[in-house]
Amino acid sequence: MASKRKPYVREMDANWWKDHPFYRFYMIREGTALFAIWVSLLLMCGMADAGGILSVLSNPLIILINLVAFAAALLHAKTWFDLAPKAMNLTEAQNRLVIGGLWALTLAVSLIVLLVAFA
Amino acid sequence: MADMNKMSLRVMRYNPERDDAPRMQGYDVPWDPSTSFLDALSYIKDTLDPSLSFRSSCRMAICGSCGVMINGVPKLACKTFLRDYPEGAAVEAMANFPVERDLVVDLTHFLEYIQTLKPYILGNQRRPEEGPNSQTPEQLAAFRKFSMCINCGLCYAACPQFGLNSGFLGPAALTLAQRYNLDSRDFGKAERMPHINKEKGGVWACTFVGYCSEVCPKHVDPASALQQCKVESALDFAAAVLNCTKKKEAGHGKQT
Amino acid sequence: MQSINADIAIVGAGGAGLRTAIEAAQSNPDFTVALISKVYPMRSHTVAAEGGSAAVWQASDSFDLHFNDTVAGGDWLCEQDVVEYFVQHCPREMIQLEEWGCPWSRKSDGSINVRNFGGMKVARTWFAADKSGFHMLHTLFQTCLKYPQIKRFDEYFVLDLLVEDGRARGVVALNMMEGELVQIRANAVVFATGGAARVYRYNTNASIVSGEGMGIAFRKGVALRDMEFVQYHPTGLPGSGILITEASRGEGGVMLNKDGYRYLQDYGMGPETPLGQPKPKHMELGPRDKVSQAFWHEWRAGRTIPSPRGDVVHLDLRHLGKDRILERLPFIRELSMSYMGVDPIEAPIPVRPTAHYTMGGITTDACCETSIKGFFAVGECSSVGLHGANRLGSNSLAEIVVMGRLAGEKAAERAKEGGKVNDTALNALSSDVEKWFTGLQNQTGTESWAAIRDEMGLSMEEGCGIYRTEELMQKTIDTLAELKERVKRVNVADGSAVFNTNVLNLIEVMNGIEVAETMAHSAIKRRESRGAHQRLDEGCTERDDERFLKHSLAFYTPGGAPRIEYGAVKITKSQPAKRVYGAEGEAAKAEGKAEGKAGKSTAKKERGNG
Repeated sequence: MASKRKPYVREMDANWWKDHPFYRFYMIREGTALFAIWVSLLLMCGMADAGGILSVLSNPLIILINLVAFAAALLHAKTWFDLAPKAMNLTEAQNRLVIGGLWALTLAVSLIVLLVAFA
Repeated sequence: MADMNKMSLRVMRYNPERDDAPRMQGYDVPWDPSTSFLDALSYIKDTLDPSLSFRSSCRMAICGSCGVMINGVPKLACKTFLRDYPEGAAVEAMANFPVERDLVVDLTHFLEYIQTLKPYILGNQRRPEEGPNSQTPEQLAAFRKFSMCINCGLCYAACPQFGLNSGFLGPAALTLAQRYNLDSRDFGKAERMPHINKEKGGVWACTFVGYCSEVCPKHVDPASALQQCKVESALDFAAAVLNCTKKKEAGHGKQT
Repeated sequence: MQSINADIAIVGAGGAGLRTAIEAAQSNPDFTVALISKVYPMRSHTVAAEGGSAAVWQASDSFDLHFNDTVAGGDWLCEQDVVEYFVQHCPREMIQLEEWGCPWSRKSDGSINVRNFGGMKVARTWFAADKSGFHMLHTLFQTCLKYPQIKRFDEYFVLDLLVEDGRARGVVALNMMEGELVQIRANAVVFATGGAARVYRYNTNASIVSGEGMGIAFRKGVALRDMEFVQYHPTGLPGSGILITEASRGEGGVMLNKDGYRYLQDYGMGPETPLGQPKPKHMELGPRDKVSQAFWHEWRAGRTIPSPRGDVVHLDLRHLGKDRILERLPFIRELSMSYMGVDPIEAPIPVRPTAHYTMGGITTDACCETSIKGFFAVGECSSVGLHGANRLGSNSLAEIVVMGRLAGEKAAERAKEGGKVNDTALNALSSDVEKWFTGLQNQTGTESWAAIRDEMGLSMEEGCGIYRTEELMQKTIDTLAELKERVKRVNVADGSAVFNTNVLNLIEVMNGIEVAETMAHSAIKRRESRGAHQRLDEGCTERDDERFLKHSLAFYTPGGAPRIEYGAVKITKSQPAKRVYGAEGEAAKAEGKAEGKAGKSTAKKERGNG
């Protein structure tokens, strides 16, 4: 006898993430990668000492983009640091310790870099 | 019941013998602060529309039968209350699974994936006559959280990667694998790793959306289990590369 | 109709069914074991058991003590040879579960921890926090995945048992997803279909616990034994009936009436034990029947607390402190907060007795086999004779694994016998089932199954509740007879094939009525009070061993009320005595010891007290 079943599959379209705050945030988090590419490109240009890189960097538009890139980096760091302890099977208290430690480390490294750069 | 307030619910209906696609049907349901969505669905079936199909059993959030989408969010119907939706709500079948009938979805893949990952003690020959294994509370705590999964499937309904690729073993099945990998009594990791490592449906299909942990009604935190699986998988890969190099060297040695 | 061949067919995939399946699979690698269930195994009601599973473990404990607690707890209506087998095999099965991965709670040195439970003299309840049944069920389910011989038929609803020439030959089941019937043939059939407490309106049970297994066996002529004994759990949430485990009292929780008074001391379970120091068999650790009965008396005396969902008393855990509640009773806290809006760390939980467990069931011998050769029953659906007139908490989780293993072993032996199958006869039987089922699918009328279910439930609460009288039981019997007629006029509105639960709900309620009838008729005929069967009418308020130290047996009569007969109780070493708890229990023990030294007249003397 022919089956009377006809399972209905709800296909996901390319906009699946648009209507849901959690998924939108996920896409933003993944989107931070674009800014990482941007900063990498800038760095490479800087290292190659391409002509006029400094004047380009002082362009207000570039400053604005870099500010956004900085925010993106912070967001990415936050999500990444929150994830890190999850990969380690720790207790809640240990989790907080790891996250705190990662932020402390980030701050310390940033300070050192700033000191070296401006000293 | 008569003097109770009524709430408008929209419920997904799909009869494969009649409908081409699911549709939403409205029902007015009496409620008080203790009315769960499962109570509401039962009320609909008992008094308004006996043809509504849904799964349910324990009505106390431990059997995992009654997973549905409430306003687009994966929830257990028995542990979600009308009082929290004063504007009414839409109840749909769990996302990412094929709909068989109304709120009933096809869970075949999910069950298969659980079995694939061998969620049982392996490599321990101890017999009852020898008495129980020793396991300290700390050793128990290492996997306990991951043993709390009730197999409700909400994490699959929350996982876009499973939605996009139904071959993905998915949060609950992989969590169960990690639960046994972490159990001090188990020695079966080597048998589970090939499945966890698998290119298409293995743990690397997970992109850490993290919504699975958000919707888990038992706070199992499958996202965490999957991150741990990734670490294991990476180590496993590194070990395989090392082994491979060693073997090659050994093979090379033989030839010369 | 499609026909599938297996060696053993197991109906029900809760703890008992799974344990049976694993044993059967282990017994012979060439066997095909069909594991059939109307729900996925993880949805079975074993999952909701909270407290734990009994097995003698501590050095201060012994098989004799567990035996005595069980037999006395069952008010001497237990098959004592079965109890003896049971207590001796409990530890092995708990260890077996451990070795299959069950996360039992541990002591700091890595050994197994045990907790106190009502009616148990020594702490012997193995537990996994307060989700013991959940962990047992999932351990068994996951372990069963190891055996390729076990072929699961998830979401297959069994409609009937195939019996040919006095032997079980398989079942007819509905594939719920396809809406098609299949014959699953096997030379041994094991029912592990669970209890029937859903015939009561307020109960701790999952909605699936509707009693079809009992109903099918009953109609096949197997007697349902001791059906009048239905246990009320003293601590269910009002309205929903959701279970608040006895372990909350085992850990030291106390029961308070509206005056904040620990009323159990007034009902033979005192004297009051100090707060946070629970003492076995005293106060809150009295057996379930007595604790539930005490509630009834308090309610009659106006000392319970009115609530929108009926009167309640308070279960107070606050003195245990946050840490202990979070460690030992996290699920209880979650349930209480979700379903009552009460955090037990800060406020007492409102509770009341609700129907919980059917001590009786499908009559089997000590090897789980029924009067039909090759047809076995195990777990709550069965009456192997373990629980007598009242089950002790944590004996049922132990039962499903101990007896499940035995049933699997014995069913495997029967399956090996094989024998010649009469194909034509089985096909004819199956097509009768098909006709009946098609008739139901097309049934029209004016009645609603849900209304009948609710009327049945309320009537059972009234007539076969914690206390019973002739008059009220008769009223329930009349109501049930009327409902049995009305159920024939239930309208089946859903005519579809795929996952049509409408017609299945009707079948559940039809079976429920029949099972409820066996309860009510067995109850009215038992003119005494014993265990969970307590009567208030004259001449019936005491236990009467002269006339009623025997099992009731309810037999099916087509179209009529069940016929009640009686069977002997197997007594091996414990003669009936008075059931005593609290200080009275201590005194009796001291007296018993003195007499034991003086001579061997103990048993004879105590019998007079009953």
